[in-house]
Amino acid sequence: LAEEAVTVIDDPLASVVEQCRQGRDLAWRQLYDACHAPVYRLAARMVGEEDAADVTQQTFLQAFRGMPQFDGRSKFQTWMHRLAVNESLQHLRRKHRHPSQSLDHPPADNRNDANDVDHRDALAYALGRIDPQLRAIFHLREVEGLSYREIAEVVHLPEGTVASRLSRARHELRQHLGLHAPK
Amino acid sequence: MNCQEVGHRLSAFHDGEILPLERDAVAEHVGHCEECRQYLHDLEQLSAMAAGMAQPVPPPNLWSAIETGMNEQQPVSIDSVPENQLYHRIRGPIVRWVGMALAASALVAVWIGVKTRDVASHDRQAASVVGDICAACAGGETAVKPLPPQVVHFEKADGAAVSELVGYRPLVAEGVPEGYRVMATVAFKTPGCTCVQCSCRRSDGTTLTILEHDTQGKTWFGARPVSICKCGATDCQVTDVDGARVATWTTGDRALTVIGFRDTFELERLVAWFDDRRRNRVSELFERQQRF
Repeated sequence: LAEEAVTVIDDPLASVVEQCRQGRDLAWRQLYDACHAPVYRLAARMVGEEDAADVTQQTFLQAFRGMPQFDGRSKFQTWMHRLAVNESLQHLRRKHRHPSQSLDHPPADNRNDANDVDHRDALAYALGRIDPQLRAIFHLREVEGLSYREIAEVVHLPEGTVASRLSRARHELRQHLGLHAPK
Repeated sequence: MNCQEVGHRLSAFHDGEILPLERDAVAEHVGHCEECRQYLHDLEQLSAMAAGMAQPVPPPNLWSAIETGMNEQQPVSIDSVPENQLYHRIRGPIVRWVGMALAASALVAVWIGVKTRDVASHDRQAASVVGDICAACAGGETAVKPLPPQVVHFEKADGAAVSELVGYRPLVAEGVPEGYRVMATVAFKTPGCTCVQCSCRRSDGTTLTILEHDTQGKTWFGARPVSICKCGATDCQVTDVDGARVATWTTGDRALTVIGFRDTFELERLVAWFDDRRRNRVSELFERQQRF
């Protein structure tokens, strides 16, 4: 019985999800409006802006087609993050390119001159040089502000592993940015 | 705490995601250690840089593209399917178990093909047998068919008896990672090899099948399209068997195959876990030899 105890999730999108299940067309658009910005941001960070729209589109299609199977054990936004991470990793594999090479350069619109690379671009550049899974965890924490527990739900890893990977991501970023000698 | 102990915790300390007891110890250390204080300062700088990064804005026509896609029936990529959707065509847990067991048997059959026939013949057999299994899984209970008896025979044995039957100590016999419960362990005895099948249930009720065998065929998945997924230092061959994601990799002299894994994170965790088991076993063996 203990295993089957259901934790009540306070999901602000629960009612919209329910409306989707009842076939109300407007609800799909509501879910999109609520989730598309973070999904797109994550996709852009993972695969680059060039392919982010494709990955975002695929993520929403997977979500909407799989809606009957969404069991509400996590927040809908958490589920979307998870789909976005998986779709991004799958996209990188499909393109047969090494993930760490995919974002070796800052996005084209920021790449004017090496001297113009400010801190923001430098971090984008450094993020492109670390493992995509570490990149995802760093993004979820630092940009989306997810807790370790929420990240653990997204990437299906124990919280302790999330903590150690986030630490590793920061350590590698610090090295790439040349902040200080590695500890 | 010394610098090394604190170093592992500074990231979580920075996020306020550390146990209160550890937090006090880390805070005390940082108070008198210039190097760790500098590291913490760097983490704060990193967060400030992340907060200041320009965030991309979705294109305005994105919703139109999604609406168009919703009206089309497109194939679903294997790694993005919500876990429960993988088995949506299988009605009920019993049929799911039968389907998974038959899928496992099919993989054994495919491997036998590698051992006993040339590659072309093997691929034909694989296509035939795996195709049957896929149809059985997709078609519901009424479509489930037994495999041809000349292809696979198997005997059942639970727990320790498995080791005796297969002639080696399976890694899966030592347990499974946290979060899984072993439902059944079966040893397949075939003309070409012996194989241990461990059927597990996740805490959310979904299932995963793990196969362990002592040799690995290069064309284990027959003519199916295979991609390579790198899990740590291990290359896993990944394919899709009728919606179920299947991966195989070698660890030492064993090959492991998982059927129905959810995503790369779960696969990575399983690979790491079984690699640890093998390394522990090698260490035990080494220590035993040292003793004698």
